[in-house]
Amino acid sequence: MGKIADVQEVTLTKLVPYARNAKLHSEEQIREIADSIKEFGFINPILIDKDFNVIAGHGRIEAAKKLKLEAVPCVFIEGLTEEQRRAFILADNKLFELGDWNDINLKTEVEDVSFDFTAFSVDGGGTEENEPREIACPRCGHKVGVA
Amino acid sequence: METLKTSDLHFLENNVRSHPEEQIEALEESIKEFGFINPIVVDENNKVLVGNGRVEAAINVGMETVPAIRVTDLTEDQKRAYIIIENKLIEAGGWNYELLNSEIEAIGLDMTRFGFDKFSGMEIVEGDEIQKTFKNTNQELDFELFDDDNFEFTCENCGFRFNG
Repeated sequence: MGKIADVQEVTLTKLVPYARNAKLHSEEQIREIADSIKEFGFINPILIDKDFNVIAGHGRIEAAKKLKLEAVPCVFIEGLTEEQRRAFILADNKLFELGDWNDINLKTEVEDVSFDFTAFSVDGGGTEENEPREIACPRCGHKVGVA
Repeated sequence: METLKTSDLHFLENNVRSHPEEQIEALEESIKEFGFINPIVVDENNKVLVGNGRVEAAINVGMETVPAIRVTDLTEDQKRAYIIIENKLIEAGGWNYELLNSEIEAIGLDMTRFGFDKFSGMEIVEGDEIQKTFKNTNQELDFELFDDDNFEFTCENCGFRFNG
Protein backbone atom coordinates (compact mmCIF):
# COMPACT_ATOMS: atom_id res chain seq x y z
CA MET A 1 0.00 0.00 0.00
CA GLY A 2 1.28 3.44 -0.88
CA LYS A 3 1.65 6.43 1.38
CA ILE A 4 2.63 10.05 1.10
CA ALA A 5 6.27 10.49 2.08
CA ASP A 6 6.87 14.15 1.39
CA VAL A 7 5.47 17.22 -0.34
CA GLN A 8 7.68 19.69 -2.09
CA GLU A 9 8.16 21.89 -5.13
CA VAL A 10 10.02 19.99 -7.83
CA THR A 11 11.69 21.46 -10.91
CA LEU A 12 9.66 20.51 -13.97
CA THR A 13 12.67 19.18 -15.86
CA LYS A 14 13.24 16.53 -13.17
CA LEU A 15 9.83 14.93 -13.66
CA VAL A 16 9.71 11.76 -15.74
CA PRO A 17 6.37 11.21 -17.51
CA TYR A 18 5.16 7.63 -17.80
CA ALA A 19 6.06 6.54 -21.32
CA ARG A 20 3.06 4.24 -21.62
CA ASN A 21 0.47 6.64 -20.26
CA ALA A 22 -2.83 5.61 -21.83
CA LYS A 23 -4.65 8.79 -20.85
CA LEU A 24 -4.80 11.34 -23.66
CA HIS A 25 -4.62 15.09 -23.21
CA SER A 26 -5.79 17.25 -26.09
CA GLU A 27 -4.26 20.63 -26.85
CA GLU A 28 -7.53 22.23 -25.82
CA GLN A 29 -7.50 20.42 -22.48
CA ILE A 30 -3.89 21.51 -21.80
CA ARG A 31 -4.81 25.11 -22.63
CA GLU A 32 -7.79 24.97 -20.26
CA ILE A 33 -5.71 23.42 -17.47
CA ALA A 34 -3.23 26.28 -17.98
CA ASP A 35 -6.06 28.84 -17.77
CA SER A 36 -7.30 27.14 -14.63
CA ILE A 37 -3.83 27.31 -13.02
CA LYS A 38 -3.67 31.03 -13.90
CA GLU A 39 -7.06 31.64 -12.31
CA PHE A 40 -6.90 29.45 -9.20
CA GLY A 41 -3.21 28.64 -8.73
CA PHE A 42 -1.56 25.23 -8.89
CA ILE A 43 -3.75 23.56 -6.26
CA ASN A 44 -3.71 19.86 -6.97
CA PRO A 45 -0.16 18.48 -6.58
CA ILE A 46 1.51 16.04 -8.98
CA LEU A 47 2.03 12.53 -7.62
CA ILE A 48 5.51 11.09 -8.17
CA ASP A 49 7.69 8.31 -6.80
CA LYS A 50 11.15 8.78 -5.29
CA ASP A 51 12.74 8.62 -8.75
CA PHE A 52 10.48 11.43 -10.01
CA ASN A 53 8.38 9.07 -12.11
CA VAL A 54 4.98 10.68 -12.59
CA ILE A 55 2.04 8.74 -11.14
CA ALA A 56 -0.68 11.36 -11.66
CA GLY A 57 -0.69 14.77 -13.30
CA HIS A 58 0.63 14.36 -16.85
CA GLY A 59 -1.78 16.95 -18.25
CA ARG A 60 -1.00 19.44 -15.50
CA ILE A 61 2.72 19.10 -16.19
CA GLU A 62 2.13 19.95 -19.86
CA ALA A 63 0.08 22.95 -18.79
CA ALA A 64 2.83 24.05 -16.38
CA LYS A 65 5.33 23.89 -19.25
CA LYS A 66 3.03 26.02 -21.37
CA LEU A 67 2.94 28.57 -18.56
CA LYS A 68 6.72 28.37 -18.30
CA LEU A 69 6.59 27.47 -14.62
CA GLU A 70 9.91 26.27 -13.27
CA ALA A 71 8.63 24.07 -10.48
CA VAL A 72 5.34 22.50 -9.42
CA PRO A 73 4.08 21.14 -6.10
CA CYS A 74 4.63 17.40 -5.91
CA VAL A 75 3.68 14.65 -3.50
CA PHE A 76 6.23 11.87 -3.16
CA ILE A 77 4.56 8.48 -2.87
CA GLU A 78 6.37 5.52 -1.34
CA GLY A 79 5.41 1.91 -0.85
CA LEU A 80 3.88 1.14 -4.25
CA THR A 81 5.28 -1.76 -6.23
CA GLU A 82 6.05 -1.15 -9.91
CA GLU A 83 2.88 -3.01 -10.77
CA GLN A 84 0.75 -0.96 -8.36
CA ARG A 85 2.21 2.24 -9.75
CA ARG A 86 1.25 1.26 -13.30
CA ALA A 87 -2.20 0.19 -12.10
CA PHE A 88 -2.82 3.40 -10.16
CA ILE A 89 -1.93 5.58 -13.18
CA LEU A 90 -4.87 3.98 -14.97
CA ALA A 91 -7.18 3.55 -11.98
CA ASP A 92 -6.91 7.17 -10.85
CA ASN A 93 -8.42 8.30 -14.15
CA LYS A 94 -10.95 5.51 -14.40
CA LEU A 95 -12.32 5.97 -10.89
CA PHE A 96 -13.30 9.54 -11.75
CA GLU A 97 -15.16 8.34 -14.83
CA LEU A 98 -17.38 6.11 -12.71
CA GLY A 99 -18.98 9.23 -11.28
CA ASP A 100 -21.73 11.25 -12.92
CA TRP A 101 -22.73 14.87 -13.20
CA ASN A 102 -25.69 16.08 -11.24
CA ASP A 103 -27.04 18.14 -14.14
CA ILE A 104 -29.51 20.07 -12.03
CA ASN A 105 -26.89 21.19 -9.52
CA LEU A 106 -24.43 21.91 -12.31
CA LYS A 107 -26.87 24.12 -14.19
CA THR A 108 -27.80 26.00 -11.02
CA GLU A 109 -24.16 26.53 -10.08
CA VAL A 110 -23.08 27.75 -13.52
CA GLU A 111 -26.00 30.20 -13.59
CA ASP A 112 -25.53 31.31 -9.98
CA VAL A 113 -21.78 31.73 -9.75
CA SER A 114 -20.40 35.10 -10.68
CA PHE A 115 -17.58 33.77 -12.86
CA ASP A 116 -16.74 33.94 -16.55
CA PHE A 117 -16.69 30.34 -17.76
CA THR A 118 -16.11 31.22 -21.43
CA ALA A 119 -12.45 30.14 -21.43
CA PHE A 120 -13.51 26.69 -20.26
CA SER A 121 -15.66 23.99 -21.82
CA VAL A 122 -18.43 24.45 -19.31
CA ASP A 123 -21.93 24.84 -20.65
CA GLY A 124 -24.03 24.24 -17.59
CA GLY A 125 -25.81 21.45 -19.38
CA GLY A 126 -23.66 18.63 -18.10
CA THR A 127 -21.99 16.52 -20.71
CA GLU A 128 -21.91 17.33 -24.39
CA GLU A 129 -24.65 14.84 -25.10
CA ASN A 130 -27.03 17.24 -23.42
CA GLU A 131 -26.44 20.04 -25.88
CA PRO A 132 -29.48 20.89 -27.95
CA ARG A 133 -29.55 19.02 -31.21
CA GLU A 134 -31.98 17.79 -33.80
CA ILE A 135 -32.73 14.15 -34.34
CA ALA A 136 -34.82 12.38 -36.92
CA CYS A 137 -37.26 9.58 -36.18
CA PRO A 138 -35.69 6.39 -37.60
CA ARG A 139 -39.08 5.23 -38.92
CA CYS A 140 -40.70 8.27 -40.55
CA GLY A 141 -37.86 10.78 -40.64
CA HIS A 142 -39.82 13.44 -38.74
CA LYS A 143 -37.31 15.86 -37.19
CA VAL A 144 -37.50 16.99 -33.62
CA GLY A 145 -35.24 19.22 -31.52
CA VAL A 146 -34.10 17.62 -28.28
CA ALA A 147 -32.55 19.26 -25.25
CA MET B 1 -0.43 19.54 2.94
CA GLU B 2 -2.36 18.54 6.04
CA THR B 3 -3.78 15.38 7.53
CA LEU B 4 -7.41 15.96 8.44
CA LYS B 5 -9.87 13.91 10.44
CA THR B 6 -12.67 12.66 8.23
CA SER B 7 -15.08 13.54 11.05
CA ASP B 8 -14.05 17.21 10.75
CA LEU B 9 -14.79 17.39 7.03
CA HIS B 10 -17.94 18.84 5.47
CA PHE B 11 -19.30 17.38 2.28
CA LEU B 12 -20.42 19.74 -0.48
CA GLU B 13 -24.08 20.58 -0.48
CA ASN B 14 -25.63 20.54 -3.95
CA ASN B 15 -22.57 18.80 -5.36
CA VAL B 16 -22.31 19.06 -9.15
CA ARG B 17 -20.91 15.52 -9.15
CA SER B 18 -22.79 12.45 -8.01
CA HIS B 19 -21.14 9.29 -6.76
CA PRO B 20 -22.96 6.07 -7.61
CA GLU B 21 -22.50 3.07 -5.35
CA GLU B 22 -20.38 1.37 -8.00
CA GLN B 23 -17.90 4.25 -7.93
CA ILE B 24 -17.70 4.36 -4.14
CA GLU B 25 -17.00 0.61 -4.05
CA ALA B 26 -14.25 0.96 -6.67
CA LEU B 27 -12.77 3.87 -4.69
CA GLU B 28 -12.75 1.66 -1.59
CA GLU B 29 -10.88 -1.02 -3.55
CA SER B 30 -8.39 1.60 -4.71
CA ILE B 31 -7.75 2.82 -1.16
CA LYS B 32 -7.23 -0.76 0.00
CA GLU B 33 -4.79 -1.51 -2.81
CA PHE B 34 -2.88 1.76 -3.23
CA GLY B 35 -3.59 3.68 -0.03
CA PHE B 36 -5.09 7.18 0.06
CA ILE B 37 -2.32 8.84 -1.93
CA ASN B 38 -4.12 11.60 -3.79
CA PRO B 39 -4.87 14.51 -1.42
CA ILE B 40 -8.34 16.01 -1.39
CA VAL B 41 -8.86 19.78 -1.66
CA VAL B 42 -10.55 21.63 1.23
CA ASP B 43 -11.26 25.27 1.99
CA GLU B 44 -10.62 27.19 5.23
CA ASN B 45 -13.81 25.74 6.76
CA ASN B 46 -12.91 22.11 6.03
CA LYS B 47 -15.42 21.99 3.21
CA VAL B 48 -14.35 19.35 0.69
CA LEU B 49 -14.09 21.08 -2.70
CA VAL B 50 -12.62 18.11 -4.56
CA GLY B 51 -12.72 14.54 -3.25
CA ASN B 52 -16.21 14.08 -1.80
CA GLY B 53 -16.54 10.57 -3.23
CA ARG B 54 -13.07 9.59 -2.02
CA VAL B 55 -13.82 10.80 1.51
CA GLU B 56 -17.04 8.78 1.52
CA ALA B 57 -15.04 5.70 0.46
CA ALA B 58 -12.34 6.42 3.07
CA ILE B 59 -14.95 6.56 5.83
CA ASN B 60 -16.46 3.30 4.57
CA VAL B 61 -13.12 1.50 4.87
CA GLY B 62 -12.59 2.92 8.34
CA MET B 63 -9.99 5.62 7.67
CA GLU B 64 -9.97 8.28 10.34
CA THR B 65 -7.76 10.78 8.52
CA VAL B 66 -7.09 11.77 4.91
CA PRO B 67 -4.40 13.93 3.29
CA ALA B 68 -5.66 17.33 2.16
CA ILE B 69 -4.52 20.45 0.36
CA ARG B 70 -6.09 23.58 1.79
CA VAL B 71 -6.96 26.58 -0.37
CA THR B 72 -7.32 29.81 1.53
CA ASP B 73 -7.09 32.57 -1.03
CA LEU B 74 -10.09 31.93 -3.26
CA THR B 75 -13.34 33.88 -3.12
CA GLU B 76 -16.60 31.94 -2.70
CA ASP B 77 -17.33 32.40 -6.41
CA GLN B 78 -13.85 31.21 -7.36
CA LYS B 79 -14.26 28.12 -5.19
CA ARG B 80 -17.58 27.25 -6.78
CA ALA B 81 -16.12 27.82 -10.25
CA TYR B 82 -12.99 25.81 -9.38
CA ILE B 83 -15.07 22.79 -8.38
CA ILE B 84 -16.85 22.76 -11.73
CA ILE B 85 -13.77 23.46 -13.85
CA GLU B 86 -11.52 21.00 -12.02
CA ASN B 87 -14.05 18.22 -12.55
CA LYS B 88 -14.59 19.17 -16.20
CA LEU B 89 -10.84 19.14 -16.82
CA ILE B 90 -10.30 15.75 -15.22
CA GLU B 91 -13.09 14.42 -17.41
CA ALA B 92 -11.81 16.01 -20.63
CA GLY B 93 -9.04 13.58 -21.59
CA GLY B 94 -9.74 10.50 -23.66
CA TRP B 95 -7.93 7.16 -23.70
CA ASN B 96 -5.44 5.57 -26.01
CA TYR B 97 -7.31 2.26 -25.90
CA GLU B 98 -4.59 0.25 -27.55
CA LEU B 99 -2.14 1.30 -24.86
CA LEU B 100 -4.77 0.99 -22.15
CA ASN B 101 -5.51 -2.59 -23.04
CA SER B 102 -1.90 -3.55 -23.37
CA GLU B 103 -1.28 -2.06 -19.90
CA ILE B 104 -4.30 -3.80 -18.38
CA GLU B 105 -3.10 -7.08 -19.84
CA ALA B 106 0.45 -6.58 -18.60
CA ILE B 107 -0.52 -5.54 -15.07
CA GLY B 108 -1.03 -8.53 -12.81
CA LEU B 109 -3.81 -6.93 -10.78
CA ASP B 110 -7.52 -7.43 -11.26
CA MET B 111 -8.32 -4.07 -12.85
CA THR B 112 -12.07 -4.70 -12.82
CA ARG B 113 -11.90 -3.79 -9.12
CA PHE B 114 -11.23 -0.20 -10.21
CA GLY B 115 -13.98 0.01 -12.78
CA PHE B 116 -12.22 -1.31 -15.87
CA ASP B 117 -14.31 -3.54 -18.00
CA LYS B 118 -12.47 -6.70 -18.93
CA PHE B 119 -13.71 -6.10 -22.45
CA SER B 120 -12.48 -2.52 -22.56
CA GLY B 121 -10.49 -3.56 -25.62
CA MET B 122 -13.76 -3.65 -27.51
CA GLU B 123 -13.60 0.06 -27.84
CA ILE B 124 -10.64 0.08 -30.21
CA VAL B 125 -11.39 -2.87 -32.39
CA GLU B 126 -12.93 -2.41 -35.80
CA GLY B 127 -16.40 -3.68 -36.58
CA ASP B 128 -15.17 -6.96 -37.98
CA GLU B 129 -13.16 -7.62 -34.82
CA ILE B 130 -16.29 -7.17 -32.76
CA GLN B 131 -18.01 -9.63 -35.07
CA LYS B 132 -15.20 -12.07 -34.50
CA THR B 133 -15.41 -11.68 -30.76
CA PHE B 134 -19.11 -12.37 -30.66
CA LYS B 135 -19.21 -14.86 -33.51
CA ASN B 136 -21.29 -17.92 -32.84
CA THR B 137 -22.34 -16.87 -29.40
CA ASN B 138 -25.95 -16.90 -28.34
CA GLN B 139 -26.99 -14.18 -26.05
CA GLU B 140 -30.19 -14.22 -24.13
CA LEU B 141 -32.04 -10.94 -24.46
CA ASP B 142 -33.71 -9.27 -21.57
CA PHE B 143 -37.05 -8.15 -22.96
CA GLU B 144 -37.48 -5.60 -20.22
CA LEU B 145 -34.79 -3.62 -22.02
CA PHE B 146 -37.28 -3.09 -24.81
CA ASP B 147 -40.14 -1.87 -22.65
CA ASP B 148 -41.62 1.46 -23.65
CA ASP B 149 -40.08 3.08 -20.58
CA ASN B 150 -36.64 2.30 -21.83
CA PHE B 151 -36.80 4.47 -24.92
CA GLU B 152 -35.70 8.06 -24.80
CA PHE B 153 -37.90 9.60 -27.48
CA THR B 154 -41.33 9.25 -28.97
CA CYS B 155 -41.82 10.55 -32.50
CA GLU B 156 -44.47 13.28 -32.51
CA ASN B 157 -45.44 12.31 -36.02
CA CYS B 158 -45.77 8.51 -36.01
CA GLY B 159 -45.47 7.55 -32.33
CA PHE B 160 -42.38 5.36 -32.88
CA ARG B 161 -40.24 5.03 -29.77
CA PHE B 162 -36.48 5.16 -30.12
CA ASN B 163 -33.18 6.21 -28.62
CA GLY B 164 -31.08 9.13 -29.87
